[in-house]
Amino acid sequence: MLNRFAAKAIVPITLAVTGFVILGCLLLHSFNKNDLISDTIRHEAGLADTIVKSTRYAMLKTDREMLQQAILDIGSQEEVEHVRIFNKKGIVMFSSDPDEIDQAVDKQTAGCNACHNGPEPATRLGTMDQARRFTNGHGSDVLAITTPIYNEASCAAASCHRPVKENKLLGTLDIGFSTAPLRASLTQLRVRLIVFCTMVLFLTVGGVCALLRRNVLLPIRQLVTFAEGVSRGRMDMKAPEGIEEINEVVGVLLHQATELQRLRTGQKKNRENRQD
Amino acid sequence: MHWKRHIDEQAEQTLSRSPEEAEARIRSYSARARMGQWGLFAFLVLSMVAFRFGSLFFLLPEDLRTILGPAPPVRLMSIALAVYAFSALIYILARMMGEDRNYHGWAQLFYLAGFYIFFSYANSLHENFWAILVAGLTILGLEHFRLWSQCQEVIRRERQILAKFDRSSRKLPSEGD
Repeated sequence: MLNRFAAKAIVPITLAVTGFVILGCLLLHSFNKNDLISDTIRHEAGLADTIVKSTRYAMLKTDREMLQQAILDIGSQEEVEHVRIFNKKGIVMFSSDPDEIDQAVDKQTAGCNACHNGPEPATRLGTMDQARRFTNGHGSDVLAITTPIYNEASCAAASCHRPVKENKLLGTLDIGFSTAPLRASLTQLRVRLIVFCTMVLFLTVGGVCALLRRNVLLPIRQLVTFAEGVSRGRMDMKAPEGIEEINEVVGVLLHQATELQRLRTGQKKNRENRQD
Repeated sequence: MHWKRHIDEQAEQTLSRSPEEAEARIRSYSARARMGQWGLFAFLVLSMVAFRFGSLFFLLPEDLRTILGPAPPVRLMSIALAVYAFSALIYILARMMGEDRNYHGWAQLFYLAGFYIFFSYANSLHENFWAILVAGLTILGLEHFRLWSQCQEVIRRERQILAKFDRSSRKLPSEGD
C-alpha cells in the first residue's frame, strides 16, 4: 500500500507538517508558560513590596496590633495562602496564622537557602530568585515570594534598630499565593493551542491531500483506465483532460494504439489476400 | 530533456548484469531499507535513558560545573531546536527528490543527543523532553520513509530484472529442444 503514488506523495508531507506543527506548539507553549510564570512572579513581588511599604509606618511606630491586623486582613484574601514577617533570626513575628507566631524557621528550607547557602547571607536577590513553588500542608500548590525588609535611616533613628551600616536587613516578608489562577490560565492556553494546532493540521494536510487528489491522483487514475481501455482496442474512451503532461501521455498512447491497430489491420488484410 | 537523460543513465548504471548480482542487490537494499528502523529504535532507547537519568546532570559536582561553565539560555536552545528541526526536515525533503540511498539518520541522532545533554545540563529537560522527542521522531521517521521508499524502488526494479533472467533461462532450453 505504501508503494502507491498516493502514499508516496502524502506520507512525507503529512509526517513533516504534523511533526513540525506539534514541535512548534510544544515550544510555543513552553515559552508562553515561562513568560506567564515570570509575569506572575514579577506581579507578586510587586505586591509583596507594596505590603512592606504600606506597613512601614506601623513598624516605625511599633504598632504591633495594627501590623498584625494588616497581616491578618491580607491573609484572609482568597488567593493568599499565607503571609508572615520574620525577624533577622528567622523567628516569625507576625503571621496570618496566629499559631506560627514566635516559631523559628530552619534557614536551609526553601525560600531561606537562596540567601543562606553561603557563609555570609546574601542581602540582595533578583526578583526571580525571590520566588519558590511548593505544596503546602493543605495540599495546595503555592507560589511564594520572600521580600527582604531593609533597614533605613528612619528605622535606626527610632532607636529600635542599629545603624544601617551595621545592620542592613531587619527581616523578611514571606507571602504565598495559590497557583490555581495561574494553572487555570495555563490550561486555557494549552487547550487553545491544541485546538489551533489541530485546525492548522487539518487545513494543511487536508488541503495538500485535496489538491494532490484533484490535480494528480485522479488524472493518473483516469490515465490508467484510459491506457487499459486503449490497449483492449477501445479507441472511443474519454481521455483525461486539463493537465499538460497527462495530455502528452494520452497523445503518445493514442498514437501507439492507432499504429498498432493499423499494423494489425494490414496483417489481417495480407493474410486474407494470401488465403484468396 | 537533460533531466530525463540523466535519470535514464542512472537507471542504466544501477541495472544488474546477472541474477546473482540482482539477488545480492535485493538483499543489500532490503538491509539498507531497514536501517531507518534501527535509527528510530536507537533514538527511542536514547530518549528513555534521557527521561530516566536526564536529571542526573544536575547532580554534577560543583567544581565540574564551574569548569564546564553556565548552560546556554533555555530560550536560545529551544529556538535552536526549532531551527534545527526545520532545516533537517527541509534537507530530507530535498534529498527525496534525488537518488541518495545512504542513511543520514546517525548524524541526526548525534545532534538530538546533544539537545538532550544541553537541556539536561540546564536542568530544563523535564519541560522540553516532549519537544525533542517529537522533533526526533519526525526527522528520523521521515528519513526512514525516504530511504525505505527509495530502496523499494531499486528492489522492485531488481525483481523485474530477476524475473526477466528467469524467463530467458526457461526459454533457452526450449529453443535448444
